[in-house]
Amino acid sequence: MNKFSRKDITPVAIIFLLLFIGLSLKAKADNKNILSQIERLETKLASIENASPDIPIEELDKSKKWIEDAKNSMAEGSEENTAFKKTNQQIEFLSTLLEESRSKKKADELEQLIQKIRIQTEEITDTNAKVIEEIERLEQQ
Amino acid sequence: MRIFFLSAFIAAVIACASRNLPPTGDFAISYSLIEDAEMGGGEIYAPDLMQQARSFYDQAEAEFAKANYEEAEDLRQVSETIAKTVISIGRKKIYEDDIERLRSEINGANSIKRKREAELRENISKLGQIKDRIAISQERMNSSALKKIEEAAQKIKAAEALSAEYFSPELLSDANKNYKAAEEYLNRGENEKSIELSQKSISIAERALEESKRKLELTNEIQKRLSTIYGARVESIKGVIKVSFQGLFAPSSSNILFDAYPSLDAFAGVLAKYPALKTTIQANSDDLETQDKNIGLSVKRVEAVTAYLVSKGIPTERLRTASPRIDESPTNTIGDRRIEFIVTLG
Repeated sequence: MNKFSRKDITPVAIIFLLLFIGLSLKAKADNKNILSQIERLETKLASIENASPDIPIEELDKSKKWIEDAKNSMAEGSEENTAFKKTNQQIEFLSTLLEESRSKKKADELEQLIQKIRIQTEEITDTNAKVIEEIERLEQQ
Repeated sequence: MRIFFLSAFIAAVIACASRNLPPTGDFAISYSLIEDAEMGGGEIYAPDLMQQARSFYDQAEAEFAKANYEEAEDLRQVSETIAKTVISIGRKKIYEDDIERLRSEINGANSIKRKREAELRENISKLGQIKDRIAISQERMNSSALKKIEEAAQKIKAAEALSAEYFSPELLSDANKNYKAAEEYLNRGENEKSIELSQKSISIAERALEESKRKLELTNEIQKRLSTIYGARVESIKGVIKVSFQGLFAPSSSNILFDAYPSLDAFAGVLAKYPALKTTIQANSDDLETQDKNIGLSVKRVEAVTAYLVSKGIPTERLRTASPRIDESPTNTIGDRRIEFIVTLG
């Protein structure tokens, strides 16, 4: 029964204690890292919100809510980072929406520009036809 | 013991209710979004995201099967968000393709526009040159019209200086008519028509001038010849030659005096030399008591002179008689018995 002496148990206990402390510190560091990433997401969301009025409000509101949820999850000490992943992906989605909005805006601008060029070309062609008509009339005189 | 089991059941029910079961409809929507992303070409332009979306969706279903509803809902939302991101990327790709196409079309449209602009500039320049040329031409034409009309005026003036109003009245009138019309056209700015009419006026005025010149020379020549006739008083008035003979008749007689025959012969000779000449013969009154007697005598004297000229070979159609002139002046005795010949060039 007394196969292990007290002398033998003490180093093992110390190893376990050190391991526990190490794991605790790592979890704390991870949480700190995720928190800073959440803050980064908040900053990014604010810049997206300011950049374009075309982003749907419900998506912005959802993002804010999920950021808050992620923060609360961190505060409760939950190790699950699904909430963070979800929020991160939502911000990525908003970034893509912003890029899409910019591309759409650019395409619309170019569409208007080409219409303008075509109208101007038609006007020039019409004016040219009138000038040619006037030239012919004067040459016949 | 019964109370313990009942309490345990109620606790289990409350625990299940607090789990907030996710609606399965949301899973269907998420799945549909993943399919939409795939249909939109997500596998081509965002294969990694598509894989993630499917992976999260599978994980969500697995968690749901294990009744881990909260975790399942979070995973489903991640999956759905990724799917929506892929769809957004797809739309962005379409816009980017549109941008590329529009840029290409803009280049083409700009090229056409520049070409049309160049054509327009060229034609405007050409039009300007034509207008300048026309302006110069019109200025020249106006100047020409002015010169022509001045020339016509000078020709008419020259014709008038040669008594064209007597020698060539019809031509002169015609020339004046054309001149006035030319003036009107000039005022209206119709230079070509003005030049045409001025030219016509010049041509007619030249003919009037030539005719007047010829007739004037002839008149002078005839006048000169008539002036050499004894007893003849000759004057040229308004294109006609007036020849007066005095003392051709004895007082109160219609018999030609003997010494008057040479003068009448000489006059007949001039008429014979110029067959175009026509003569109107008129006798002045004598100093008889009554006017009737005077008129009767004058008529007889005209008849006597006419008969003599006819006897000298002058055709009667060249001789015309005019009514006798009554001289009511009481002191006029010189005028008595005067015969006048009004000679015209025909």
